[in-house]
This record gives sequence, structure tokens and C-alpha cells, in this order.
Amino acid sequence: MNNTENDSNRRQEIQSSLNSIVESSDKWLERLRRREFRVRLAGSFLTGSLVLMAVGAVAILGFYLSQGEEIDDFFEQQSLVFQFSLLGAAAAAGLISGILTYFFLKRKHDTRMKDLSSLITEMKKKTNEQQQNNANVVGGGEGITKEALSLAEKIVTLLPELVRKRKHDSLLFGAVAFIVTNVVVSNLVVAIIVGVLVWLYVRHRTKKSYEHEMSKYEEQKRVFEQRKRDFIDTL
Amino acid sequence: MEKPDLYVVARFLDIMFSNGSSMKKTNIQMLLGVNYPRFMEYLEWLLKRDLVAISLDEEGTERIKLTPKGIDSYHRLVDWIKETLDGVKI
Repeated sequence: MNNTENDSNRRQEIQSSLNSIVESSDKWLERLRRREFRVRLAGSFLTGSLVLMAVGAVAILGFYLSQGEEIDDFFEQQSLVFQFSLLGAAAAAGLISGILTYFFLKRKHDTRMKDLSSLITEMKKKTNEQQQNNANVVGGGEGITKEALSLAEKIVTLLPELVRKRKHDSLLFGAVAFIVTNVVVSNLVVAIIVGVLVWLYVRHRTKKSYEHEMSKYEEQKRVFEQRKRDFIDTL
Repeated sequence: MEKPDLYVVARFLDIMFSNGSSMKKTNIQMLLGVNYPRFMEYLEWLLKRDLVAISLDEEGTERIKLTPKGIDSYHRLVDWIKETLDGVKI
């Protein structure tokens, strides 16, 4: 095999690696979008649920304090229509806050993804131009390694920002534990204790898992920076 | 130059590889988007490592070309980026 053939083969190998970088980048964008979508859904659901419970609790407490009656008596005295109206209002408040949270987060996430998306579009454009130029044997065009490097850097920087803090998860679990205990044992003090214990436990667990995930991504970022420095030394 | 920026080195190799044939310094500098002194620092750094070579054309103008080692390094760089992208865990 002569030098020209060797050179041509190597160029083809490089071109194929460049094409697979573009494919990987596309897959990454899709994976990040899916992850952000899940984060948005979970965030909206939690906010909606917490608002629903909070509005319901405030309304019941308000009536209870203003009329000075026991909760059970209070519900017995109210008509079914009133009880459903109360539930409907709380549900509407929860639904609206959930939807608002979803769109607020979507706006935030879309801004973050815009950079990555435009980098990938640029890479695709350049790769197509390169392929056309190669086919026409005119040479020229621009490579994509700078954009690909920048993309890899943006991804490792972005990943820690995608980890959900889950600070509201514990509140929701605590509230659900409080309601379930109150229904089962019908004792407000026991329900409060159980609710607080569940809240503290879940808070501890979510904090631990958040720190674990964050340290994993921070380590990835550190390794990337180190590998960048090491690569220059090998040239 | 103590420690070059990998982005600039990558872009330099990119330009040389994409254009295939040898190129004039000013053309590379323009595509690279750095000032002339900075461009010369990078060119010297690459020359020192035999990644590019200078030759003279018929008109006596200096032209820069990727050496086989340069193409090899570019190949490694591309593979390294690919591995990095594939290696990131979500």
C-alpha cells in the first residue's frame, strides 16, 4: 500500500470518528433533554402536591380557628358541596402551581440547552460541508474538534446543575405520613411526631444522595480537566 | 509558551487537516482567529513537536503542512474527544 492510500485511509478513519462525535453529541442532547423533562415533571408534581396540601390545610385551619370547633364536628356540619368546593379549590391551586412550575422550569432548561443545541447544529453544518468538499475533492471547510471539545466541557459542567436538590421531597413525604397516621390512629400528637420523623429521615436520605451524585459529577469534571492537561503533554 | 490552550491547538490541527494541502501562514492565522504574535507562538510550539512543517513554494512563499505525526496527533485528538463524550456518565 503506498503513502497516498495510507493517507486516504487515515483521513477516512478520522472522518468516521468525527461523524460518530456528531452522532454521540446528538444522543447526549437527547439524553439531557429527557433528564430535564423528568426533573421538570417531578418538580411540578411535588410543587403541585405541596400547594394542594398547604391550601387545604390553611383553609381547614382557618375555618377551625374562626369557628372554634373540632375538625370532625366541623366537617360534619359542612355540606358536601362545601367540602367538595374546598377540595376543588385546593386541587385547582395545586394544578395551577404545578403547571406554572413546569413552564418556569422549561424556560430555565431551554435557555441552558440552547448553547448545546447551537454547538451541535454548528458541528453538523461543518461536517456536511466537509463531506461535500471531500466528495468534490476541493478541500477546505472547517473541522469540528473545537466545538466537540467545547461541547464535552459544557456537558460535564452542566451535569451537576441537573441534579435535583429534592428539598421539597422530604416535606411531601412528611405531610403524607402525617395525614396517613392521623387517619389510621386518629391522634394529632402521634401524627405530628410521625410526620416530623419521616420528614427528617427523608431529608437526611435525599441530602446524602444529592451529595453523592454531586461528588460523582464533580469528579468527572476534575478528570476531564486533568485529561485535557495530560493530552497536551502527550503531543 | 509554557502550556498551550488545547482549544487553540485543536483548532490549528483542524484547519490544517480540513484544508488538506499546505497553507500560507496568514490564511491559517485568519481562520484560527488569534493575533499574529499568538499565532507564531502556537506555530513554533507545533513545529518544535514536528506536528507541522514549513516548506517553500515556487514563488518562495512559506507554506505550512501537517506532518504524518501531526495527522496522527489529530487522529488521537479526535478519538480522545470521542472517548471523552462516550465516557461521561449521567
